[in-house]
Amino acid sequence: MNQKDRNDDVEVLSVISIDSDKFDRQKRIKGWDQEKISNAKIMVIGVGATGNEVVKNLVLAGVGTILIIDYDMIETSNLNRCILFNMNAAKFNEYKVDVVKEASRILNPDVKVIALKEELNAIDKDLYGQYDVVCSCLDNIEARVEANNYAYYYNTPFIDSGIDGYYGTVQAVYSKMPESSCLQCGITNIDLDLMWKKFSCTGQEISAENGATTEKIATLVTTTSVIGGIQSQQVLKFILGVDYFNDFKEWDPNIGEPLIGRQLNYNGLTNTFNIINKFKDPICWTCSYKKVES
Amino acid sequence: MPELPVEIWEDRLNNEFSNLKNLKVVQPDSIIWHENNVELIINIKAIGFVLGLDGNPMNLMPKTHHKIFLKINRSFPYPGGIDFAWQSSIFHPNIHPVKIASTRELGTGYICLNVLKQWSRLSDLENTVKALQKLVENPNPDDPLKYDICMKAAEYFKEHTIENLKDRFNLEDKDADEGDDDDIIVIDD
Repeated sequence: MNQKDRNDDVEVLSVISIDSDKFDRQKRIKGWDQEKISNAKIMVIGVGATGNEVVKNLVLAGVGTILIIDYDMIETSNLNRCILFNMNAAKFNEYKVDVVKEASRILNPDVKVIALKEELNAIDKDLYGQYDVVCSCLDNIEARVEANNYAYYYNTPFIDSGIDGYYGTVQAVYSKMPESSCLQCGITNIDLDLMWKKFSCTGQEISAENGATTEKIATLVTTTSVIGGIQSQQVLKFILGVDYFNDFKEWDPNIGEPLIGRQLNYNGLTNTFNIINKFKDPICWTCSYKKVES
Repeated sequence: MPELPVEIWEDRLNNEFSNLKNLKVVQPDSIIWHENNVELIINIKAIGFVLGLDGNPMNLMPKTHHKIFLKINRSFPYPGGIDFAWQSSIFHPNIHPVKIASTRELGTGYICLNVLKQWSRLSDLENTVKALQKLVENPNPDDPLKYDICMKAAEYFKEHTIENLKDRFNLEDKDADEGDDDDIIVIDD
């Protein structure tokens, strides 16, 4: 090996260039494309416990644009599980989205975070079509189903998560895999009954015991981190692998397949994960709908 | 309440309406589309009874055509997506019609029927209309609405069954589904 070649090698592996690139370590992952990540636009609905984790992960990974939607304000009881909130914000009851936006800027100033202080059913529905992935970090079934319906309609990948104490769940929905199920497929008559009771009795009859997830469920920061981590992993998989999927109708083996039509359940008590296949409902209102000519 | 995207919602409603047209309970021009809801009038055939002009339950009159106003909003087919109002007059423990015969007051049009409240995955307008037909012919006096006229009807139907009344008026027990040759009859009460 002559002197010139050796110099070239040294230049490629220069210590300075390795450590001055913020994303160097993740670029070493096979199949990783940082340009795709930094051009991605992600919509995160709800920035509570899981939403904080997801936004934090996406911001650190260098995602280009993140739209966060939440109309709620910070309370002191949120502080045990939300990394981007702080005591001062809780004291002055600041909006969650404002605080998350500010904290994200400190973590990574290159990321553009757009904050939207609106209820989900009041937002412009075209937004679902303008983003690459929709992430739902919500606490109630109505909003989840609505986000699922619109994301499915606009062919946007949709990732839902839920937590309750030691247990958590993640599921992805993608309309370009038409044989896979959506969130509405799993809605039972019991869920519809609960929706109706909440709607007609202003929530008085509903408590956490009878299955509703409206008020004051148990949350634990460790479960939140696990579920938020898995959910943001699915986002990255979609960003990196969706072009390959659209070209070849299968997922890039280097990236892996997201949890489409499958539900990952985490049990923190037994330290186990299991994945169940969710079957497509042949009469689903959202994804099995067929236009019948009258 | 969650919503379906507007295009899916409209297509679903069009499918439902074409089923209703096959049942011959709705006239195409009675369906009025607004921006966020649809209004329509349903005409059903079932053997029910109305109070006579004197308001005495002893002088009941048979009534076979009924008119129901429906308002469907963007929440449909999720719970709370549909509002009913019973428009024509009727003497029934579970229905408080908008027009109450022999009085000048207006009722609420409220209908006490489980399928209207507990909308399930399999529910559709066609089966709901059939359920309304069955309700007219099978009053449930044990669970009346808390309105004077409905309580009165409950008392009356505890003593008299629909079968007795049918015999009294020589009404044939003709199922409304079978009368397919008839045109839709528009009722003006």
